[in-house]
Amino acid sequence: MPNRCWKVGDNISTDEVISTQYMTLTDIGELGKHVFEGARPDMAGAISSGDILLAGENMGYGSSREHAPLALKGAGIGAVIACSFARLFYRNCINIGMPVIISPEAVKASEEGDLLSFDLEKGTVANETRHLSFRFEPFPDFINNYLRKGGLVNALNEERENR
Amino acid sequence: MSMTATERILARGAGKRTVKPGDIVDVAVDRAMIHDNNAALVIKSFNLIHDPGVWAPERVYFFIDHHSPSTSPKAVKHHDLMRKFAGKHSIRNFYDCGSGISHVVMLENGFAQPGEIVVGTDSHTTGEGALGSFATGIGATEMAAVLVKGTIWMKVPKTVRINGRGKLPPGSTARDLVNLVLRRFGPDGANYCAVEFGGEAFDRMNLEERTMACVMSMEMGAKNALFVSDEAGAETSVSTVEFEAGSVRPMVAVPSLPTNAVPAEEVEKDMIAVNQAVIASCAGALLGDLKTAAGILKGRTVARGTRLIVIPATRKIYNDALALGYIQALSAAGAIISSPGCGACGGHDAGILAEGEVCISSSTRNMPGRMGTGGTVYLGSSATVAASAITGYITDPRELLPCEGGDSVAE
Repeated sequence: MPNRCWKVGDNISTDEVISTQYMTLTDIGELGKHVFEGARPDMAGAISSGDILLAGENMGYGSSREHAPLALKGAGIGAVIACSFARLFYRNCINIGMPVIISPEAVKASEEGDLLSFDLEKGTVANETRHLSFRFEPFPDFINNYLRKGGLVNALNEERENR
Repeated sequence: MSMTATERILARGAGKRTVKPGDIVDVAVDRAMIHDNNAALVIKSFNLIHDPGVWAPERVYFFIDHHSPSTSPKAVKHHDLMRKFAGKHSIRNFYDCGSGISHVVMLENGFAQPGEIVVGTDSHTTGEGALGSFATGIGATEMAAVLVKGTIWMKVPKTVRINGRGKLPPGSTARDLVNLVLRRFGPDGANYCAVEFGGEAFDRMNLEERTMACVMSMEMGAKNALFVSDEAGAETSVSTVEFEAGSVRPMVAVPSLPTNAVPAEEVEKDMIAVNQAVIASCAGALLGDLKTAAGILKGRTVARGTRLIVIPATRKIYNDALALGYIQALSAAGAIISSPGCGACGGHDAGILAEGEVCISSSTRNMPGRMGTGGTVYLGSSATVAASAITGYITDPRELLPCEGGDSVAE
């Protein structure tokens, strides 16, 4: 099912995704209320569940705060597609079960509000609004497993049970 | 096949003879560091793991450095959670409020030894590579898994060697050279890479300056950073970027990226008034920074309309600075001295900016909102911060060399 997308620029730092003042929050719903509060105050209240965030180069630049992907998840964002990612943000997303897709072509060809869908196993992104489709390098199996299970903790629990 | 320093460390951690860039390996963690900004999320994830236990409590380090002393009812609740968790799981390496910033304390105590694999819930964990470990930041959930398993997957990074030729000229600091490196690479120029510093200019750096360089490597995307001297036989096959230290001038990173470095003398022309000047962080409030600032400020006073905040990185640095007279000189000049910790760097407690205010800081980052919503941050060396605190606007520190009577602290 396609979802609406939101679009932000290059080098979006985790400070911009969720401000330092909310670092003492741990509830993802609460964090979600403050996502992009400074940079895009229009977003938090208007995101629908499953919406996709499009970002430019080096998405998630800066701090290690897992609060940033948690805030996106709490606000309803279902996946992040970017031209490139900063490594900590990228790992944090995978660990909380948030799909992160590297596809500069999809980002450049899409505008905010377009309807997008993606397939992690096949490695495809489709822009349903513009009837375009793009390929990306699928994840290694163990990472897709994290995403299927909803994150690292669930995958680890299953691994420990099967041991 | 010969390997870089980072590859050798990861190969050992993975129990393999060799690894190469791009390999994904499971490595054994030697030390795991968790601080109070992320501990609550770590503990929350840990408790979701079935039948969790800490794999090796003696390898785990807890730090209260972000909200220190406690800054809000929520922050102190997290501190309480950490103390109870540590008690329950026999984690004795507990560095409570006032101990200082994790990375610097780890290095002061020799907890990130050459060849070790160190992970921390802080992006600037890269700083812990200053003694030659592989040190990198990870998120809270991943740390919960490390606490249980003692291992983590890593993609072996490509190595980029940064070679500094020659010596820094008088009046320029190691931070200025590193700011120049950041400008060259940009915010993602070393993404996912291991950064290796070498050449005369870097070989000459002391441990504090090395810590700063490894910390700031994060700002160009480095996965880890360490120093490998030419004599130690650096791999020549890696890509190398050369810098001439002899021509380095004081540099200021203008808003809103730490990599936006321009010469301080250029910024000075704009007469940018500063409401706040900050000497803080794991990259900007080490003993040498306090010495430099005290040397410039001794016998002078902070400008009216500017507040100068000094937050020594660790308790040891604070005590040494007291014994050496730096704190007295800074305080006499009008500085506010705050307790060791991360403080103003992340806008966690001391030193939040009001909307529209401008700050010059020796800390690590200047992205929008970093030091408070609507505030603007310029980054420079502790010398540049001290000089700017005296004039009240962003100033090239070469114009304000230590004045009469400053010699006893500035040597």
